[in-house]
Amino acid sequence: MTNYQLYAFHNEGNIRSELGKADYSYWFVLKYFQALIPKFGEVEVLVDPPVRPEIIDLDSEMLFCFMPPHKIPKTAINYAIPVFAWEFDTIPDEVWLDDERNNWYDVLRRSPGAATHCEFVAETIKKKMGDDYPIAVLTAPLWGQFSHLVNEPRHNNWELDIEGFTADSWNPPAPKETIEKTRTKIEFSGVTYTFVFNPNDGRKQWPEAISAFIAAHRDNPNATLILKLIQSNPVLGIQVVWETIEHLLPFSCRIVAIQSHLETRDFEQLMLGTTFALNSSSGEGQCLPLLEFMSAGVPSVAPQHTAMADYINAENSIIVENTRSWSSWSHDPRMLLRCFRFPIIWDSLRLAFEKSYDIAVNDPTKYAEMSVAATERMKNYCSEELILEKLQTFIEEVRLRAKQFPL
Amino acid sequence: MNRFIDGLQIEKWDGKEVRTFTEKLSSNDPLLALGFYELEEWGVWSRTDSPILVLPFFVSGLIELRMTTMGYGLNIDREITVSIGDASTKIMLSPNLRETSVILDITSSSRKVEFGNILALTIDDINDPRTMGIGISQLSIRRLSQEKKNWDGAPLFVDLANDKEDQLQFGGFNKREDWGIWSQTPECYIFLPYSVHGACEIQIFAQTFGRNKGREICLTLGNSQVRFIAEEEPKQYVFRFNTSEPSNLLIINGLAPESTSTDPRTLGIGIHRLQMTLPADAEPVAIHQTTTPQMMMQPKTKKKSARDTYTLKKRNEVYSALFSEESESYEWRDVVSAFVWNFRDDTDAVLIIKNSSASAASFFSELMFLFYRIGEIKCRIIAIHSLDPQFDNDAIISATQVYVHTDTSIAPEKVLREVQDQNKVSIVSTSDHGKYSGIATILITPNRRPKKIRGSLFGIEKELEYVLDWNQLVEALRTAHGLLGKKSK
Repeated sequence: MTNYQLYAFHNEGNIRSELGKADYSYWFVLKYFQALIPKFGEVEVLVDPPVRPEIIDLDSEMLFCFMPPHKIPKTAINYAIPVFAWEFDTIPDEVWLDDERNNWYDVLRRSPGAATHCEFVAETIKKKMGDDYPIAVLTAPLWGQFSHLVNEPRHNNWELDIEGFTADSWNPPAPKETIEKTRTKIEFSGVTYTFVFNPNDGRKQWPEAISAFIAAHRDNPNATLILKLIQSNPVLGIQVVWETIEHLLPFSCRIVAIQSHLETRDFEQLMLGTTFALNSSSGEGQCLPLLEFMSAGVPSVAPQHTAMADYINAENSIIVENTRSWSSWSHDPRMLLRCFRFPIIWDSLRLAFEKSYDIAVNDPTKYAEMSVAATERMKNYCSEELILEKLQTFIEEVRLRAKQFPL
Repeated sequence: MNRFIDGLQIEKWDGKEVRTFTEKLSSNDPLLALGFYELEEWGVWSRTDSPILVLPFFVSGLIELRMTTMGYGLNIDREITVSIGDASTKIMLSPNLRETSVILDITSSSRKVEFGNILALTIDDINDPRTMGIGISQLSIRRLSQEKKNWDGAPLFVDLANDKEDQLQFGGFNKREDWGIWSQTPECYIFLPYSVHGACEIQIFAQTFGRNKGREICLTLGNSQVRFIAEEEPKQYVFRFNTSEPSNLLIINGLAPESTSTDPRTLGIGIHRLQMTLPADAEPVAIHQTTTPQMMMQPKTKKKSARDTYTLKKRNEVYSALFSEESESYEWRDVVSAFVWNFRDDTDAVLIIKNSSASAASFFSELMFLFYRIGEIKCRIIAIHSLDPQFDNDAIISATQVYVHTDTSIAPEKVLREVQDQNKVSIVSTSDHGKYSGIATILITPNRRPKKIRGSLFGIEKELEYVLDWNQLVEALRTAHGLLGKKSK
């Protein structure tokens, strides 16, 4: 029986304090795969950096590292299979900071194969590595975890139990330094958009999202935007977001920023209360929150680029147009122009807020169709059965290639 | 022990050269290490809680000490004191050897580098009976001179990407790289080549790392101080100082150095370029002299702008764009990069870009960084700066085959009429297509977005602004190139 080893920088012991820091979401992806792997063999989650065995036999032992290729421990190069998120149209193929691992082409060439989370990146890698390179699109298999919510009743009035930091434009904290950790119940009603993001993530274009929401619904108290923040420094995160909102007051629509860990039932309540999941990012490697909300039957307002091109379509979402600009790989300190990013167009987002609101209020049939289309797309994109099948095929490809070209 | 040290031979050191000492088994010049164990292949472990390295010479004044150190057990991430004479500072030890730079201002000369606050300990789980605290493999020392000539107001431009550039000295920074330099410590120092007394404008093109993004950073020159919010992306920052105490020491503090899992160095602010100019409205520079009373002196007369002639060949395909950008949208950068994206390998393609913004230094500084980011190109870019918005416009338009108009602060009608009269191709970025449909060849639509609040990382204004769509411009340049091909046929 094969022993499958899984390794990420974060682990069960430290993940709560690492939320919002670099690469924290890799731990969640690892957890999803930890649940799948027992279908194929034994699974072992490593805490210490892995070391390449003297004799590599992928039939008996296989290592998946949930991290970008340049972070694979040096001791595991030539052996580890990187599982990583990426959102650019090229991969790094140069060395910098004297670290050869920054040349992803080289790391991948020496790996038995690699897995990423979307077709856009798989195609990018194939363009560089060749069609015969084993690359799998392994999305986090989470449809089954949230699809049951499709059948649960949704109410116009609902509430959320929060133990953490909140800032509500209908009940503004002043000054921002007075935002304190509290246990509170917040009531919501009307058409609600939810955007889950890390305020420090430069890709998310969240100030544009806030501004476009206000421009679309300035005088409409029936429209609410929930900003669910994921930040390692909760006080800093909520303060910076509130400062941006406060500068745009007054407006009648409602914006609520929440920085809190939500227990499973509360997170499900957030999904049940949300009318549209929101994303205004210039690039996504996967976007777990969209996958989660859409699996639960929540249509989205989002662009159709990078990973989102795999699952955002006109049937399940209001598509936000984007442009492209010449940019740098996100971790390249030299900031050389080597790839594209795909910023959203603000006016298109504003119109998407208007259009989606109109559907939610005036066309319940269309909304219901979008909801069904969202969960159906996710079933065919990130259900456990599908990912198991893809993983099985990938493992076979990897073993075959390792026999043809020994590591 | 002091008597023992006093009896040791003393070398002379004038402080002009950096002296480096290696504390390894293979080393020919290890320092006398009191309170340490034997040298090992990698370096040496301390034995006591107050070990001392003895330099072969006395040091005083402002010095930089660079040490490659590591900590053992509980000493990792512990603040260790480093003292020479009456000057003391703190360093943090990491689990692996790491170079640390500290600055000491020593008034009572000494030859002892003393370490304190060390826990000399053994660790139960490790089969080594030694009491170890700090490990050292290398130490280098240099004097930072503060005896500088007085600045007479002549502009200074230092591009740290140029490895021959040595006008600045740094304290508390990592090693120079091919693009610039990263700071290492929470407080770091730049030693300017001149002592400034009075008003000066210092511009730095800089970026920050990790949690330094959005952090308030303080710059001090003499008794003048400014604060700013640093951003992650490289950006030009302009600081106005007015110091009544002459100084050549620019102190940067408030940094929160951070390392990554792949880069053990601690990084705070990364500086690409620095320039120092006399503000246009400033009083003359006060020259501080120690031998005579203070006197006032006029700054050097500003050089007249150079008048260069550029020769274009008949086969050249010439594009041009005029700007007077004061906004933070930097659309000229998009015009340059869109041009390069299309014509990188085309030796016949030429872009003439003219900017009449306030600061030529900023414009060229930004342009040089853009060239660095773009890499090697075969097409040609001619950049002109003039405070006169009309300067050479006729000559530029006359040489142009494709005119690109994106700067909304320049009224385009006059230029576009000329372009049209001369039967040339024009690309206009405008939200009002109707207004230009008769006179522009290719129209592109800018995108709206909320205006950013200056100096704020995420803050936005209620007002919106139009910004050039880079992607549309790329397509428009391609179309224009096609039109020129058809014309020539």
